[in-house]
Amino acid sequence: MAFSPFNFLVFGSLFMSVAVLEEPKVAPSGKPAVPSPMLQLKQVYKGYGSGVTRTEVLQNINLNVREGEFLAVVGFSGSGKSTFMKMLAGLENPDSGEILMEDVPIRGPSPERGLVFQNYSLLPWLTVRGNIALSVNSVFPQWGKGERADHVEKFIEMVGLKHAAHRRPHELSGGMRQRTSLARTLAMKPKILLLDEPLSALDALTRSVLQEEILKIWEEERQTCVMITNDVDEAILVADRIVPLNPGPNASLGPAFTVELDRPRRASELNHNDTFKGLRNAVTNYLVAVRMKSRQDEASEDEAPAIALPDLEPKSMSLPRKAILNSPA
Amino acid sequence: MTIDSLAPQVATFSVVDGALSPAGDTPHHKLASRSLATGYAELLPASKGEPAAVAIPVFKNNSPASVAVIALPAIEGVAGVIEIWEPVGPHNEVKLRCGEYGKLERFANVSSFVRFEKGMGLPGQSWARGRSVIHSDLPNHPGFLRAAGASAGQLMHAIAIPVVSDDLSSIAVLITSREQPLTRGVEVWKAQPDGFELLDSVYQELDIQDQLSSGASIAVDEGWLADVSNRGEAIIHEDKATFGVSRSGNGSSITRSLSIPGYHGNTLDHITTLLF
Amino acid sequence: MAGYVEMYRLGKTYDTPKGPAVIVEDFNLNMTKGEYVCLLGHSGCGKSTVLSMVAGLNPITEGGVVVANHEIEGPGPDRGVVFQSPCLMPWMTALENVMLGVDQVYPHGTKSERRDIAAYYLTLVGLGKNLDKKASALSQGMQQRVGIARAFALKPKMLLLDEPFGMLDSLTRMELQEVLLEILTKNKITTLMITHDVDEALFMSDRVVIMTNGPRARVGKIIIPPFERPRVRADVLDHPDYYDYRAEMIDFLEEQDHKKMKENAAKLEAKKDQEAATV
Repeated sequence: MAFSPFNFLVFGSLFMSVAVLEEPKVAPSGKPAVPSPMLQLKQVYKGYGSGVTRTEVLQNINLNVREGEFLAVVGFSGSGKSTFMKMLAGLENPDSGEILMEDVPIRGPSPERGLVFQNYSLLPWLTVRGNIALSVNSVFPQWGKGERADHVEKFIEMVGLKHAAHRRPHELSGGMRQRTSLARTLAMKPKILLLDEPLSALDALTRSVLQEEILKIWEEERQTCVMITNDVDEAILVADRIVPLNPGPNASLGPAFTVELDRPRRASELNHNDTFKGLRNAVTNYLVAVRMKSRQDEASEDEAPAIALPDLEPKSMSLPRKAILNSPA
Repeated sequence: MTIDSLAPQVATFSVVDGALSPAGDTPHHKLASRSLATGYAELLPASKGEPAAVAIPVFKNNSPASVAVIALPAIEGVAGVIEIWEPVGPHNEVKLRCGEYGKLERFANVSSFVRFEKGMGLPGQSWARGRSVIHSDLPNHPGFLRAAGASAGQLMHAIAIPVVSDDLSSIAVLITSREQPLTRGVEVWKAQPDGFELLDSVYQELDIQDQLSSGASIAVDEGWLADVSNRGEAIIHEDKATFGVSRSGNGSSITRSLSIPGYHGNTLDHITTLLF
Repeated sequence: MAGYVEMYRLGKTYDTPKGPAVIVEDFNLNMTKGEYVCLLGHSGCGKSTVLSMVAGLNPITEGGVVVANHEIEGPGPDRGVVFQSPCLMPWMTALENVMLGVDQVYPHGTKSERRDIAAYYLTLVGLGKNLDKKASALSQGMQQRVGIARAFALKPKMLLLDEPFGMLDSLTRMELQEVLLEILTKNKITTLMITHDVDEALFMSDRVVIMTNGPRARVGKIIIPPFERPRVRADVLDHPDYYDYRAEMIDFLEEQDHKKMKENAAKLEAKKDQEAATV
């Protein structure tokens, strides 16, 4: 990978202006120490390809994920959300910058960071119980057989799949498969849970049911959790903080919105809450505005030629009997 | 509407025996008193045609030495933004304490829900550096995190001025709009043993001859910076010979300046100069 | 006053072995020229049945539909339909997909005129730079843009939109709502849209018609969003009454839910009683 000195200079000045890293200082006595973040992203850049086909996906990502918080990253499709999550999981490395887990650089995937994808990757020949047991056995080989079995049952129950524990993935609905994925990941007792649009493949109703369940499980366990979503309402319902991922290429993070809504939260009650309304508008308006700005920037770079509309009316006298439809016949 | 109409709307007060000097009873005097009492930058919201104003206390050796007051011009439309940010919670964050946004309601709404960690965003950078920070060309500034999503088209430049006694008390943020500049320019000067070095600057209607670029330096005993350093408080200068030092235009396009020193303990760290 | 579009005592009944099943009954709706009406209701409430009857895709059992003074008989290009999935020909370019319909409806135009018509509407939906991209290379959101361009290019008298953004993620959905509104301000077309998204209905329509739950679905409640046009999302969201309207709609839908649950519970009880009696 080759950077011209000029590029390097530009990058250098961006570093300066975007985030100022704290110089180590002796903490004044008598003040509570600031808790160290569970996960830190420092000036992370990531792109793919090289030469003319090079695409910069993420730029200048700075983020601290705190222990015990539920952080939602809300972003547009194609803005690099999955790349972001893969880096947190250790499946991809940043081009520059660093990602620290409890102050140690991430060097690859680890059961400490449990990832749940949009598309559940369950083993089709194993039952719900078998899929969960497989993970538990691989992560806790030192446990006794009975202990592991109890552990598996506990998580099957937690996600409400006791009645379906003997079924194989193809015998499950989308929602049930996603519950199995969640149980499998939770059962590995990761220090941090990474949810990559876990609900976006589901229909609206299943989605809202699972939202509430994820929230309920989280409210019991209070496990550090990063979720990627494209849904502002979902983010407000579950998260302590919401960080927008601006549209790509060269996607960067927006400011962190704090969700000051009491828990437990229930979607139906939020509709009447003034903080909810104000925050919903603030986050939505922010996202709409960044998207419009990004589209304007794109358009001004390369304007499509204006085309004059010919002065023609449809030939209505000879309407074809066949419908012209946007559907398969 | 020109910037000159703003000129009477800056004021400075010395702190003598714990009281403001000169004494008085004007709204700006009352605002400065409040700031002196709380140790925070304080905001006077706009009301009945009276412009909004901010009081910024200057601490030297951890005790208040003076107070500067800056008012937004009293015009209709987007005049600019004043914000005061304060530290909150266990995670080294600042949140909005109060702000004056005029018609920029959406920018206000976004600002009221976001928090900045130390080092992040304009207020967070100012906190981490313990120094005033300028962000220019806000719509495209990568560090001004709220910009893209919030009325950015109407905002131009911003300066964050931290109020630091033994720890951060608050941060005053001034944002100038495209249609109504608040100042002709803002400069942040770093105090060095042998003089002052211009760290950053931004200009909005100032003769090019009077502009200085980063890295410019002024000797320790010269001009308005020396005066601020010697007196150790916020000072308004109206003498072109003073604020014109080292400017090839001799300050002829400037009518006055307000300088606010920033101390770390007893040591002068930097001076923020607003040019009108 | 007669409307530009009239749905008069519209009804749909299917014959089943157990007797006739009434899906929609006595559905009346008049639309003025250029009006945007959303049909809102839970899935299965019969709103798609209404739309498909207006489209001429589903035979009308009772009543009738008049569009621009002509009672409809079957489908026709005077009514453009956009479904959830645009179903483009994946091997064709965006332009070629739109040309398919344009060639049929403008046989009297020259080849280059027809091409310009297709290109014009694709540019309107923001695809001016992607005319020659294969449909298969477009994202779901871009494909639906093609679907919208295709519908507008035929200059229909009426647009029928059946959850056109239902498959898209919520941020893409918002963007396409804005694209559609913008093109509608330039090409005022009477539009009937089906959705289950309360925010979408409020943002898009002049009138929201909320249907009662089927069977025997009919107009349950009508909401008239007060927002000025052209609409800017931030202004609409910040309108002091926005969340009141939203709550009113959600409450009505939830009420319908409860009714349905009660009915189901009652049915279950009746069935149990019956079973108990036969044992």
